[in-house]
Amino acid sequence: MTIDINIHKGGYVEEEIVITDIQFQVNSGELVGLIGSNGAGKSTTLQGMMGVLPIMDGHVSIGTYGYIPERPILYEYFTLWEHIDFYMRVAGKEASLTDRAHELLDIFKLDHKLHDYPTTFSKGMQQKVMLILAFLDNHSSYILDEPFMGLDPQAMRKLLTTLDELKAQGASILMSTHALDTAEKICDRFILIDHGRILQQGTLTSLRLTVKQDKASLLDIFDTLLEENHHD
Amino acid sequence: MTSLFQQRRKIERSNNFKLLASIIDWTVALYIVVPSLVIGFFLYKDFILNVQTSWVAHTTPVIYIVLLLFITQIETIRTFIQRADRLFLIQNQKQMIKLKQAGLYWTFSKQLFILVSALALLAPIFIIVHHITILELLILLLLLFTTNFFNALVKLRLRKWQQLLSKIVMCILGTVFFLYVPNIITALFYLILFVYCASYYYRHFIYSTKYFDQQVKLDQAAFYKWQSLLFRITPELKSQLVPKFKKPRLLWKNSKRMFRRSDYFIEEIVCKTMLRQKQYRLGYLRFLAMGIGLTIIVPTWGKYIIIGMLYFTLRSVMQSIIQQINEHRIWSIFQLSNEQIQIAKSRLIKGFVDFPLLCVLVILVILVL
Repeated sequence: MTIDINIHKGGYVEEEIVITDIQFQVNSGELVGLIGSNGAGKSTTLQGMMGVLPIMDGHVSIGTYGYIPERPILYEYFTLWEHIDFYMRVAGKEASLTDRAHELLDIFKLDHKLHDYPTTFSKGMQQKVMLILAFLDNHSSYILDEPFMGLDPQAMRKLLTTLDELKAQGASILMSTHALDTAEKICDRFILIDHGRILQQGTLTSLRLTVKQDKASLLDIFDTLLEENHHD
Repeated sequence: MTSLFQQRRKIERSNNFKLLASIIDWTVALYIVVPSLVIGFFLYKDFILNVQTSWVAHTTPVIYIVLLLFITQIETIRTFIQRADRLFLIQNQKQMIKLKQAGLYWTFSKQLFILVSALALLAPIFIIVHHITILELLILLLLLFTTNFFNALVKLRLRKWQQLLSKIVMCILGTVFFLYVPNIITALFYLILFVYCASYYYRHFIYSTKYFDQQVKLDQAAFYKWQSLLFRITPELKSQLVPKFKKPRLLWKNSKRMFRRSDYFIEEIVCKTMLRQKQYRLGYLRFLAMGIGLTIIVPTWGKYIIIGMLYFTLRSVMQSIIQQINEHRIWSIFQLSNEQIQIAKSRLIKGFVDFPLLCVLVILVILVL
């Protein structure tokens, strides 16, 4: 299923609109990178997509989705397995998801911590819990907010493999990240955001054409576009 | 300097008010404080009307004197000085003395209020049961006031064991004077003792800054008295939301389910949270235990009122716990519908409120019949 976003304006309080005219699509089997400086409006856009933004005017079309938050969100009084079990019960798919849960626990090397509170885990391990919960069920869409944060190189490689698999299965994935070199390698398209508005969107090739730099990296493109925008 | 005293009193008053407001919200006020006051008034009235035939008729005045000395003691002679006063105020002797004097008068006024209230409450016992005159009660007031002031003074100069010894001696002395020595001698003795204590306090603690640090420390403790008391009574309020341990320590240690039914997942999160979070667990149990305890001690007509109050209180407690859990950010990961939450909420109220109260009611009816 395609993610279709058309947000006219959105924010946290009525007087302060954070994002304006955010319009884009993420097609089935596509991984799109949402790029922007700190405070540009990336996380606000994601919250708007999930319907948890207090002030929101616009339309969002998204099916069931897996979500990785910017910072791990864990329940203080649930063990790792209780988080997974709760998720499976909410989804009503215990029988079909139990094997997948063990598979993911094995992939991210957390099978020996099943009965511990994840709030006592290291930052990277907490991020792995978020990955397990997000990838447990097969969703049509995925919203990933800084998924590489705190991950060790092996876990990062496993995450990239999982993303490839999901793409192959036809999932629409929107990923907000500051890891531009990684994004450059794995994303099919990019949406550049600045001051709550879309600055530019397109593939790496089309963005290079926009800034008239043949071999520019994503970082170079981003820098150039930001500078141009600030001069305007 | 009165203005400085008033200013510091205002800060303390506002601090205490905020603390009180955080404990007694409208639900606690409506269901516990107001009904307790009403029930307390009627219980006291019943007690006074039957004082000659009740168990107090067989007690001696000694018990009351010891009890009053224990309950009404002065924790600290207030000075309202602060640590920062060492920098500026200490150089202005006149202002410092005025502030300390104001603190002493404040302590005296508060002590007088407490003693008069306590004696007024016990007056029916003293007058009707023990045939003590009003004049004797006034002498008792002077005796208690001076003894408490003396003990507070002793706290500033002597060690712990010496303080204890002094308290025991003063208690015995007070009882002997009140029961066996002529009134006029008792009054004179305690008046002289009071004047001596006051002049001693003025000389060593008001005109002198020798004990500045000790006075600051004691005053700070008095300032935070209610907070300290609250944390002593309910230590779980101090604890953070994050668990101290790596794994669950009580039941369901191996992440096993509490409920076999798959759709009881909200019930599971609430029950496990209550089991593993002290604040919720003790809060609920405290209300339940208090309610049952009150049901046992009040007369039959009061039992039903207490059960009614307990129902609303427990309901409020459970609703607020569910609300707090419901506001957790985890629900952006676990997506639930409002209908699922409402169904679970109703089941939880039945389990945590209706069922225990039905048990209490059945036991009560059996006992009454």
